[in-house]
Amino acid sequence: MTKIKHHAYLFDATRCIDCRACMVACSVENNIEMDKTRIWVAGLGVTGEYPNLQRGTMVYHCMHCEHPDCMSACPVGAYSKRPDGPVVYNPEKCIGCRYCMNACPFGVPHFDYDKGIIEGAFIDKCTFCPQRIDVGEEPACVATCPTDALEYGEREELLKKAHERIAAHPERYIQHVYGEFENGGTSYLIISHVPFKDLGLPELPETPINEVSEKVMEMTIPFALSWGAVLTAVSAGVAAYDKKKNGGSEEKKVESHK
Amino acid sequence: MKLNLTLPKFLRIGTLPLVLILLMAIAFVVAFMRYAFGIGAISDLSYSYPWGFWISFDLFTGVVISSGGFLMAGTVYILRIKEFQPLLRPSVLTAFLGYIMVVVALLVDLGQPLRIWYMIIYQNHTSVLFEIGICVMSYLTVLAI
Repeated sequence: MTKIKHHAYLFDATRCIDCRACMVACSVENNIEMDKTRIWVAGLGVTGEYPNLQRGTMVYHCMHCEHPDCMSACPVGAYSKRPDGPVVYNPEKCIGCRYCMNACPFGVPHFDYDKGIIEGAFIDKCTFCPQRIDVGEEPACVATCPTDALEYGEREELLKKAHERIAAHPERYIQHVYGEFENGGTSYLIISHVPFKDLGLPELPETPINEVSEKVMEMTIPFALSWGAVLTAVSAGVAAYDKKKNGGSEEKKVESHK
Repeated sequence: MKLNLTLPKFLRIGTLPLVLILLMAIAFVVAFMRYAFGIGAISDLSYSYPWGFWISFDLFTGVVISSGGFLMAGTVYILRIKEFQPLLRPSVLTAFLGYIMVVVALLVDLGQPLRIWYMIIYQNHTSVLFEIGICVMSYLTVLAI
């Protein structure tokens, strides 16, 4: 068992046969219902014109970003990023505000819309199977994939493998590894023969969105303090003006009403 | 003998309060359904649209109602225009009710309404929503005073 520094997935869309065994495996491993599975498969159907037909399928689950937007957005800090890759969600802290669902550019977190106050409505998302990877096994979806469309390993090695595979078959693949730099890099790497946009993956800049928002957030406390200072100054100025004009009699009246 | 059909004074209510009471009754039923069967039972929120109409309506209406109270307080206490003094108390009360409306809407909207105070103990300073939560809490405190 080799010690993995940075867990990652590699998904090869050309190898996926749309069997959905990964969904079943995930559902069994993590004991969740099939209609709420943490992994889901989207098919493009048959595209192109005869005789150049092709199919595209895409397996989605949490991208385990290097700079997760959900973690940045959560007001109570229910998300955390493990140093070895996975982004983990802690239901003990969650207040159910669903802000992470808005923040995630991939639309990954799912919410229990059908649970009342007694059962408790929580967010659910891929956990990277910590119960398996911590003992050196592959995550359930990878272990079950019959065509090795999903692979698991060290992020650096998988990146190298992806680039090698693209270079070996340039006519088959698009010359890009999705997730290498998208949103600051993700732990779920994708190579494909159809445009990533068609697979439902958003086009994202290399700078994660949360870096922009966090810069703005840093300014709130200075802004609030300076605005308070401005209002205090205005208040003091008006008071001084009133005093000058009326000899201080008006100001006392206003003060007495507080 | 002519029957005296007039109600005693305390039972006489106008049409408008009756309508409001009816609306309240419906709202209580809906709120009960939400707490018993989940948010999905009373709304059409989905994974793609996790925040719906009631966030935009309830919260923003409440906040907008309250802004008037803050402006009035600013006019009286900071700019010291004493002509507005009589309007101060009703407007601050309206603002307080507006923020109460925000919190009540949040209690319905949050998946874990009992944990609404968690924002005080688990703080995540990079979150925009955290700042909003702190604002709502501090404004409510200010208005209650």
